[in-house]
Amino acid sequence: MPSVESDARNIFEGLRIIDFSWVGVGPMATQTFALFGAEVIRVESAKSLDIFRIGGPLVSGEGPDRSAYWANINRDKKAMTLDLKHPNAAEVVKRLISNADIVTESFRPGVMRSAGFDYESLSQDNPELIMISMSMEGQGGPHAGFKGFGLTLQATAGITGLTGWPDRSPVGTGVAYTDWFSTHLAVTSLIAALEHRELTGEGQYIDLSQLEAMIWGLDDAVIRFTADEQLMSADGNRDPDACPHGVFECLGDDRWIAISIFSDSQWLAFRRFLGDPDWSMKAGYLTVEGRKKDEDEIERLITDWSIKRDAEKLAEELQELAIPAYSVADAKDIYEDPQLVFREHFWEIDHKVIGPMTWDSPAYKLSGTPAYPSEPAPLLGEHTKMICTEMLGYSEEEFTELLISGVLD
Amino acid sequence: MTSSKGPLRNYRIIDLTDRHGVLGTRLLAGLGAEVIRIEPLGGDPMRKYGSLSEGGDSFFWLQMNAVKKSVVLDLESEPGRNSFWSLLESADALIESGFRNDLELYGFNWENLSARCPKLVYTTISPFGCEGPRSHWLGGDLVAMAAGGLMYLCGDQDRAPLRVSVEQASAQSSVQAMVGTLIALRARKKGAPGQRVDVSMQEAITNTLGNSQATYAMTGIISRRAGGGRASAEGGARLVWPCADGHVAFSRSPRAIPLIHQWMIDEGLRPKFSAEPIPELTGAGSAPSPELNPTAAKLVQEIDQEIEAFFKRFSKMELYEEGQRRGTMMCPVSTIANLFENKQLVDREFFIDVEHSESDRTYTYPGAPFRMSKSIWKSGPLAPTVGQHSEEILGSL
Repeated sequence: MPSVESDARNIFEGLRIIDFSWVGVGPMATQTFALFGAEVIRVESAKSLDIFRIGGPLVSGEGPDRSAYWANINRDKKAMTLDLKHPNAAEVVKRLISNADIVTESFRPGVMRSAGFDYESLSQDNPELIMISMSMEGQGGPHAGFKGFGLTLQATAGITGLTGWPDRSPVGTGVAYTDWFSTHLAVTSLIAALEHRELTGEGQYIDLSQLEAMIWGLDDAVIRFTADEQLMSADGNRDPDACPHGVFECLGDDRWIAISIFSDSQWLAFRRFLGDPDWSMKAGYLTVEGRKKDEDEIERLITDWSIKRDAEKLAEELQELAIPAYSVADAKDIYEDPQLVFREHFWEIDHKVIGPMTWDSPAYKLSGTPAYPSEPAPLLGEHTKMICTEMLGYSEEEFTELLISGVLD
Repeated sequence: MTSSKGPLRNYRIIDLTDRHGVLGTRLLAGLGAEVIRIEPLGGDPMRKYGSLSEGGDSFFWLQMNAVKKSVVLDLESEPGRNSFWSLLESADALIESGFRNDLELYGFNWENLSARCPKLVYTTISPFGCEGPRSHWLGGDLVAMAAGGLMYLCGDQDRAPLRVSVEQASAQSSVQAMVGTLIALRARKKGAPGQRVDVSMQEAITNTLGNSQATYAMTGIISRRAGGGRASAEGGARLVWPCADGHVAFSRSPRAIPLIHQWMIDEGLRPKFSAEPIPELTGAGSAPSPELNPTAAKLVQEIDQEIEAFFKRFSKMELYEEGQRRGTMMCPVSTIANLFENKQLVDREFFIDVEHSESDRTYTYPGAPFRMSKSIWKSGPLAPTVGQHSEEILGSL
């Protein structure tokens, strides 16, 4: 048994989070707190299900408890159902909030307010309460009600336009990319709010616009544009300070290797590894600038060579020569990757309905209080009764009345 | 009352990050932490990374190091190393990326750090983490995007997988390092000693694969890149569409088709496709396979052609405003210039103009990444000059 101060779950122990959020960013942010010991209660509507509960991959049939994706981002939480639009919901919410530290939500702006659950109302009897709203474009402003999800929001934020080939339409990342950036900023803002509360005794409200958050992930594109009208655009896999810096086709079905050569010594080692072919021996190629002039041609010649070779073996050989390279990993490869296996990135756990499944773990490994897997994601409404009777103080009779009234749907 | 100092004001963080970690320390500085950038005698090479401003420092440096302090230390010399030890003893966290080998060479390995500075959180960012069979492998953004699995999901099917031209492995490792550091600092409040926070860029990217990892684990299906669409097994779900002045992102979902249909009618057009639900079309914006379902594939192709022609009548901002008004998930594929025309960002005054008196120029920076009602976000002072705070900081040790 680890000692109390060195257990990951001691870090946020005693912190209660009432989690009204749904889909990606909110649940992923509260999962970080759950992993380190916070008590996270997901409050869901059985009438209007979290779309991730019904999105894929669904395992062995249909139903709200079969999504392996939902289960991957909601572990270590408790779940109750509550219909926020029901006239009796306010009383249940009031009890939930009364000794909560944090309230989270990610509905369209205005939904919580119109239901009477805005920060001013919720914090009336609990001024230390911290609340965060995580919306697409922020709570106020002309686009506050605009719809979207990570796959479209990445376009608004500039990520899509910066992913693609210069001679083609931009493509974006193929995933709901903004989710994984906004999540970490949401966690950061909540920890900052906890720090503020410890210094001052006061809670506060956080308005996180995923659009605004994502703009911090655009390197220096904003300042460069305003300073010099330098409009950064998608440039394939190239980098202004390196050549070759690309992804080259290898032997097999859709196999590729990424190679990035920044320094002169890396180039010389690479050239030697290629067998010093005539094309590579041009004096001008000794510098990045010289190679940049013929980058199309150099990439073509490297492909002629790589296409006959195994990506994984090439990566090992190149790394042996201190040349940065890696085979492009697909979803199967990441489970077999020696480094990810060593770091135990994927955790296995038994889910009550899904059965054995894998979890992602964070990219930060803490030496003293390492995170570890514990409880699988809850079933829809799994803890409704326990929360109502043990935590909120409803008697069995009152709980039955709540059930009959439909407020717990 | 809003304090002028920021919620992390009681933390001192020593910053030895390169571009794979520097965003994280910038955000911590914005929240009020005292972030002290350690520079070598001639100044940090990051000052010359990317395009240079008129004042001489690069734009990248200016944005990523605003609010921070600068102390010059020569770690190759014994007095320099002694000063660094004293500085670490006064600090709550050391965050580094790209300097671990140098630090170890000079004796600042985790064993020594934890022995001499037991409360110090030591966050280290590297391509593959501190230990393991490939921990010595080299890589930056491109390699981490490949190794972590996101690259495989990006790009056109007939060309190589892609990275993002603004570095996302760097961005992800930066923000994960920030969160990991904060969690280790919270652990300290509960009685834990300082600890090492070991961040892998590869792993930070593996965290961004959406449902692809679960899809493979549960079904054995490998998601593939799908051009401007969602990566999936079928390679469908188109999202990027051309318009008059560029592109928009739009999900041609069963719910969106009647909305576009009505829009076309309101514009005086007669759409050939039906507003009624199409049984062959299931799922958000799906693209049926021409081999498995030729009828549906042909139908979708026809609808897409009509929608495409319709979108080409409008600019991306027109489509964005009107498409959203009509209830679709229409978004512009923004260029950086478009961000400044986005009415939401303008109305919320997201961008901040900052005067640079040394060059008599005003540059625009991103504003607060989130808005806290009781805590300030710090946009200034400007990034420090080389060693601007050496005397102040070293003199107080």
